[in-house]
Amino acid sequence: MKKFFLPACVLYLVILLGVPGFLVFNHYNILTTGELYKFKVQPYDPYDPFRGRYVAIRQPSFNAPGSGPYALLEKDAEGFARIAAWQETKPNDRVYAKNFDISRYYMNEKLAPKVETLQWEIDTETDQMYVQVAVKNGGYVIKGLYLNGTPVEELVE
Amino acid sequence: MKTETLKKEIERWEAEGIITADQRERILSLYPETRSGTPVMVIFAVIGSVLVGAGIILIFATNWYKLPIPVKLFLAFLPLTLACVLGAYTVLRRYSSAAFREASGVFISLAVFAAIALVGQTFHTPRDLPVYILACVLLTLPGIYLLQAHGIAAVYIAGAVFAGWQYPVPAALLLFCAPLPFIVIRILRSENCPLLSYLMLLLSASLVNIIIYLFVKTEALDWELAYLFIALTAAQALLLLDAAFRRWGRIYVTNSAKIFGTGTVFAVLVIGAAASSWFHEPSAEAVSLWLMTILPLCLTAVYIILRYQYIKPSGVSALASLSITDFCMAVILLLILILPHFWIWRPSNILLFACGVYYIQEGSRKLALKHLNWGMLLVMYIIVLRFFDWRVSLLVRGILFILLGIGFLVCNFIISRKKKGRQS
Repeated sequence: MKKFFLPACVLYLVILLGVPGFLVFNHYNILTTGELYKFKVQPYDPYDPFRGRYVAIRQPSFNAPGSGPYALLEKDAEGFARIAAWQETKPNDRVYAKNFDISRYYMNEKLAPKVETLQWEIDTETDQMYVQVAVKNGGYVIKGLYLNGTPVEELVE
Repeated sequence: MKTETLKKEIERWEAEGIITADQRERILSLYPETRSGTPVMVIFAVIGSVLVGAGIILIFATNWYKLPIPVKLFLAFLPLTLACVLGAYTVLRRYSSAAFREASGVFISLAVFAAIALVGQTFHTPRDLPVYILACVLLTLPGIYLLQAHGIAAVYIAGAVFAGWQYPVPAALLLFCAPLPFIVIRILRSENCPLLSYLMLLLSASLVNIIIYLFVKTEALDWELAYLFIALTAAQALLLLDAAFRRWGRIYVTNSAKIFGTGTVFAVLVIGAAASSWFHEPSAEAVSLWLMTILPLCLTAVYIILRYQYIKPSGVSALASLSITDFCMAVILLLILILPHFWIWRPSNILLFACGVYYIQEGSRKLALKHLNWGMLLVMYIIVLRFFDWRVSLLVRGILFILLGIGFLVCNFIISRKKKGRQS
């Protein structure tokens, strides 16, 4: 039993560092090499005790038809993305995101409420608030939250 | 008795010729020197690790949006790496020290929570809290066995109970069973520590939760009440376990289990006494409530039988009164089902007040300050609670308060007379 103790400890430490390390590698890879999609959103401001303030995002196109874990993505004439449909099987010839959920955008605790306020002050006819998402092989990572092309952090700071 | 005290005593016995030098050596050989550290050291190490870990989580939750992603990730991995280094050092150099094992265990578990949280925050991962907690507790699980530490087990089980409530039975069952060997080994080694009782209390809660899931339609649950049921049943399960160990195993390791069980029953009473509008009435189709009521009732009945079958307490002991309180509480929960508009706070108040009076009476009889203060605390709680209770009219409240005040003054007078009588 003692023979396996030290290797088990080493394996445990490798797993401890490896699991978050794999998450980082995966997310960073998607962020830097994935195709970018812009989703129109309406943010508001809740709180997570472990991960801090975030801007919760309502995304109108999430009510797309169908069901399943795979969201089929498409872009409209203005360049904004939307979910065309949800489906059970993995699509072969279309861009998709698995378990697609962009409902959280983590922000500094002082800035997050200001973003919600900002959202109510903008002109919905002319201003565009959107989330930019990098998508690659079904994986996705949120790149940023923007108002008319400017990161919201810069606007509310 | 502590080893140091024992050593001094043995030296005194030898000096007085009660034992020989040979006998002294033989007795001392039964209590070998350990490097496990004093309980105070272990407690300080655990508290220190918890504070450091919690501080790290809070600092990261601030969300340093101006930092570039690589720097954020470096910060995310820094505490985890330090925790791993501390863990490796503990395993290689200080494994015999309980303080080191406990501290590195807690530090590792909290560093895992912090690292996963910051990675999620950096990349805006939308995963829910239960998924996040589940991932973290699974990563801390091997640490329980490798470090043989209670602290990391405590973090795991607390997380597992939370995650277990969110997932179906098989997952909850696996999470429940995973730390069982560690706890069973601890019990077999006759280790007596409050943290072990805490672990068993959480395990009981986890088990009760699984039972509820197995037999109950979860959508029919009135969850605000369910928390009280779960807490009460878990406490009673713990007391029952304690009684079973005493009865059949002749093991008294779970002495602190009694304290935790008792504390939880009182916590349920205190919450029940304060509860009012935020407790909804249970719906008629909530079959689950029947099960949740019968479960604590049965547990209490078995507990009373087991605990007092072979012991005839002189008068009403504190444990007997607690059993009665348990039983009454379970009956109250049953009444909530049977009677419409039967609110939990009224009987809880009466029960808590009765317990307070009982402890005051016991404290004065035995002249035990601990009991007296505890009883006073319970009664004061009820008084403060009802003083601000707008549902009872001012006149009724006034009369009740005056009567109670007179009662206390009379009690005080009688006790002081008795004391004088004893002194003379």
